Amino acid sequence: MNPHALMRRCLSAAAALLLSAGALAVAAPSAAAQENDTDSLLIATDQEVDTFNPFKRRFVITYNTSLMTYETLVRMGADYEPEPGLATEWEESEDGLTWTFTIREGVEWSDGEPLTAQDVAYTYGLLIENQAIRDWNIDFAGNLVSAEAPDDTTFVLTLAQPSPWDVLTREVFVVPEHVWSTYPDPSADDANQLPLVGSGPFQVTEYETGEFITLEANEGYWDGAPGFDEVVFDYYEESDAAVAALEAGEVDIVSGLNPAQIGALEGQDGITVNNAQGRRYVSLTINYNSVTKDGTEFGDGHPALKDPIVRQAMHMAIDKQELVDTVLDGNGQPATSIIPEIFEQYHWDGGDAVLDFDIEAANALLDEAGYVRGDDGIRTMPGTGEPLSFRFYQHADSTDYATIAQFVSEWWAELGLEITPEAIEQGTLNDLAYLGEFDIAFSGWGVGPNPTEQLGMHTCAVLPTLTDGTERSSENNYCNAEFDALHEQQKVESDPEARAELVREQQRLMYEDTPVIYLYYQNVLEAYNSDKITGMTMQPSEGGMITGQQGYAWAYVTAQPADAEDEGGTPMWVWIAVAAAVVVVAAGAIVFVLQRRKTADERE
Amino acid sequence: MTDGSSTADGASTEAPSAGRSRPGGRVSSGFGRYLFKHVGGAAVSLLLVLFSSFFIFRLIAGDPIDQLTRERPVSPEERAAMRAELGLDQPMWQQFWDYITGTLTMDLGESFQYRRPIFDLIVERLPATLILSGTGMVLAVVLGFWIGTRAGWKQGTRFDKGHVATGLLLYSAPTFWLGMIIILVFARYLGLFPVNGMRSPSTPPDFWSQAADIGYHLVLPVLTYTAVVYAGYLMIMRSSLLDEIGSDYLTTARAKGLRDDEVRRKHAVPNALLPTVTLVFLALGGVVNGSIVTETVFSWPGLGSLFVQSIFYPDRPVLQALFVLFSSSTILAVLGAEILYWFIDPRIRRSG
Amino acid sequence: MTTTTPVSPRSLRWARRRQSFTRSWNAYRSQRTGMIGLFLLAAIVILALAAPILVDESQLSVTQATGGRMEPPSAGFPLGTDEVGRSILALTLWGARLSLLIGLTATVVAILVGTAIGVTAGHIGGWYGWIALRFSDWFMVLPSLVVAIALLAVLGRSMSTTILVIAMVSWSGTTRLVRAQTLTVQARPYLERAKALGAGHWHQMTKHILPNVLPLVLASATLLVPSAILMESSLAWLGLGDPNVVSWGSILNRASSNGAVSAHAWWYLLPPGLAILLVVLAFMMCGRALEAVFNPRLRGEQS
Repeated sequence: MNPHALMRRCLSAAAALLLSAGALAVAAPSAAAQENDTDSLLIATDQEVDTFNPFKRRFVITYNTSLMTYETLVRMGADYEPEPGLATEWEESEDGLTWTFTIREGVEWSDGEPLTAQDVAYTYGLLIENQAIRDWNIDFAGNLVSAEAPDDTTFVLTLAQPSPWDVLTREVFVVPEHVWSTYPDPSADDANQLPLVGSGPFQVTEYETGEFITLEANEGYWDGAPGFDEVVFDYYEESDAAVAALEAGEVDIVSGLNPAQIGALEGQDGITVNNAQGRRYVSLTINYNSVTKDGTEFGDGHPALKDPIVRQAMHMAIDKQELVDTVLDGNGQPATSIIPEIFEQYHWDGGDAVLDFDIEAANALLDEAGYVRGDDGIRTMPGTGEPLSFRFYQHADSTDYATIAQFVSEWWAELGLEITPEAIEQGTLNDLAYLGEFDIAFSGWGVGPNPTEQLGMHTCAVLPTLTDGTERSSENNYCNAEFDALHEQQKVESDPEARAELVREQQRLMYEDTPVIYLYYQNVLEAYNSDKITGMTMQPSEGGMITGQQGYAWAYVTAQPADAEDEGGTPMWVWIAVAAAVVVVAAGAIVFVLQRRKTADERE
Repeated sequence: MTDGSSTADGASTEAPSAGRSRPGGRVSSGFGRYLFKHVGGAAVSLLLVLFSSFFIFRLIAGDPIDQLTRERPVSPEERAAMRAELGLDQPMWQQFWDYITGTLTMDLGESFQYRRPIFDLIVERLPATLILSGTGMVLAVVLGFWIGTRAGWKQGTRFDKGHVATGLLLYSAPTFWLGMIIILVFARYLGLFPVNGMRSPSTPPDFWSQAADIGYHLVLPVLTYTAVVYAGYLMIMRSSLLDEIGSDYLTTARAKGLRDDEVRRKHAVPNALLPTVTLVFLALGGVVNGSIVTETVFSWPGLGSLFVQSIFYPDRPVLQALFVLFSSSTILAVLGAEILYWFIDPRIRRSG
Repeated sequence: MTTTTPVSPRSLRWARRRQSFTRSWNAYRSQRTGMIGLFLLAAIVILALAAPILVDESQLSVTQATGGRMEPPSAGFPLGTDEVGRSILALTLWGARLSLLIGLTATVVAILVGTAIGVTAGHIGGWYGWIALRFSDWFMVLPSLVVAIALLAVLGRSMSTTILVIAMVSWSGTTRLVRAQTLTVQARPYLERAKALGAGHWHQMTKHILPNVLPLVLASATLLVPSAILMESSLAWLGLGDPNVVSWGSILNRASSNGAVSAHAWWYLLPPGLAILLVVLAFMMCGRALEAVFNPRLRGEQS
């Protein structure tokens, strides 16, 4: 081919590309501006879908889609109180082993088939008889004996051990027998076939990896059709991008924000920032007791950490309020115990027993216990003279943790402790933690409304039997007989107030023993387009959260489209200016290319 | 730069494949031998990649089950059930055998995080990557060659100096930082463009609206990508042209009375283009790798951002597959460039 | 010529080296961009070295931070503050130390490994040379950022692993260059002579080959440093660096994970990024000038 013909062709191609890019830039907003008649509730997310199978899902995103697609017998109310869902009423037998539920009449699946007690029995039956599903949910399913439906509105569940709170709060999503019984293996991903059939307010109809999940409203929902026609989870990997999209009206609800983003969004027209109490705590785990059930010690934790005085002194040298103020910009509460403040009834606030931030007092405590400072200012153990030098592991992917680690290390240095902070991959950190090969490590959990889950990780029953770090049920090898006795009591105590009393007592014991230092409870920072959405029910109903609701998707079901026409986005003149500029440039480019071609042709 | 790795040596003026083909200086027995040698080398490289990919990512510490059950208590039975489902209870040699046979038959296994076949994931995300890096690459090559030719021809002029300086300046900027600044200016302050993803869910599903929407989302990422990469092509084209300018035949052409720009277009540019053609070929390998950094800054749903996501998960099967895909695409591109070089550069034919 | 002057071979060698150095220096000095780059680089290195004098280390402490959260520039904080109230100016100055340290160390490691393998591969040849060549070829075609990310995920994040990983993805170019040059040098008659006189491999390599290879290595090293610095910043920004150290990349990582873009906190984004840009630019200017000095084909190209 003639080489400079090639060159010329390249140039024309470039001009054409520029032109079409320009044209696209102008055309796109008009396309985007076209209003379609469906009211969509757009929620920003960054989490992938693991599986839509409600028995096997692990992720928050699929928890939410399951919560909307399916329903439970008992709902979690807006203030975390059990209330009727698919069951209108229920009764526990004297011995606590038999539960009888009355199933709501007139409920239909999203494909129009009626929902009966048979479906419920089928669902619970899967937990008992399907080996994979049973294993997957063994902590609950292991206690189930039988599930029967004597008639279309009665469901009877039999347990091996009384366990009222598990029965009421465990989310067993009722699935349609007429669909699921056609699956060769209900535990496999057959259940991912879209659209999903459920009885909840919205059903998953479409999913594009990394792009969006669409849930369509169930118009025949027994509790009234939801306000929006569809809920769309839209993928944004960077939260800054999600914020920009919210400002541009491209997405309606954004969560997981950081303080800077909240600051930027506050006071903007049409955007409401929701700064709600959260369910998550961040804590420091202290390696003080790496032993197996039969008392074999393992790991290489520093011996000084076995001394409660040292742990208490370290606890006192942390200014939790300062951490909340700087790391969270005030969007959280200093923590005292494992159950966050949001669960008021169960949370133990410490009262007078709380240790205040006081480095001097902490130093005095260590002096008194005989940990003298060496020449380098580092304290040593009374007998052996071993320096108090601790490894401090943090998750490498969190910049918040890095900041906390820096604060805490600086405070502990004032105690005469030598701290080596080290950022470690999540997986490696877990491995080291379960092998007992650390001194202090970060940890953090999102707490559910049933405190048994979290407290259960601190009982002697879950101590490992092997020293190879493969058994990972105990959070920190905490083992206290008194705590365990209280735990067994609270599990079967049916009276909520009496149970809460026991749970608070458990937390008090842990505070005294200090196996873990709870740093703060993190607020949920979210924002939504209040020009478009009204009437969302939060959880808790006063000052609660939108995303991260438990037991029922209150916010998404109750959200109503506001009538206000959205005038957001870019003002028209900007588009006209851009269009004009593109036209001028494009015209110039065309003239230029044509000109060149002409002169070139003439010259040849 | 760190992005679009195969153009990384923009400042060096030699085509990367130029030196490797003449190890002993012995006379070769022709194309067959040349081809055999390079295809063989590429095959060995591919095999090494295939093997190392399995073992490298197995070294990532931690129990995958912990990642799957993040921040949620798990019973030992549940753990065992999950291990069985993910095939982690199999002995290592069995896993290795399954991996090798699977990869060779395009069965890449199942992702930990998505619980879906990896092959489907890649097929889904490949177009996004090709659109972004392909457009960026074409723009960068055209822009770089065009300016490079002009700058080289008018060496030492203000045009030359200005463009070399601008190119170097952009080339020196970290891609991710340039991306953030571009977002800050064009999306945040001016509000002209969307900052995230490839399309908006509200766009009507017909082809033209979708294409327009993608084009609209494409502007800023492509701008970032091109800005950082084009300088490499500019420099190469410029110095390649400078090489030609010194040649005798140009002097002869001028002596024959040809006009200056005719000399350029008819003689200098075609000859200067030849050595750079292989470079463009090399860049094609980079297109599949996409632009890890650009995709991450703009949340572009391509293979690069999938790779980064999988690193943080960590999603071992996906990492394994992507590592093999990325590496083999560059290996094959280099092989292609080498074969092409045979036809372009007569010196190779002489020296083997 | 030289045999007429009665001096020891050692001083002769030095004289010759001094002479060639002066020649190169003069060639370098005549290039304006190279000199600008050199001055820029000197200024940055001096600032980095003087950081502890200019800014007290306590300014990096979080418990002693005095500023507010992401404050815009003011008299007290000329470049504003970060999310815990530390001065961005102080962070950027201190960040220079680590970014330069990582870039330089990684380059030195890469150059050492690359030169050692290159010289031995070229000199010894045989099956060893073939394997070394194939191996470096293999590293050369692998996409470097992909490999670096994968290796960091495997090896864990710390300064030393970052250095190691960057060195691992950049040594192969040097090997190829050095090997080619070694082959050229070996073909020269005086090496034949040295061999005939019974010089051992070690002697040949250190006394004859290395001195001839070094200038080229130096020139290519100046171009390796900027790519190492860029690589470090990209890795740190992606969140694969050690979050406990202050480098330009890790500052930008903190900036983006704390929402600096949403908060329009340009003062948090601009200084570290511009610093990277300047250093890289300075190295590139020096490197291009050096390349022109040692590669006669390009000489005179730059004004």
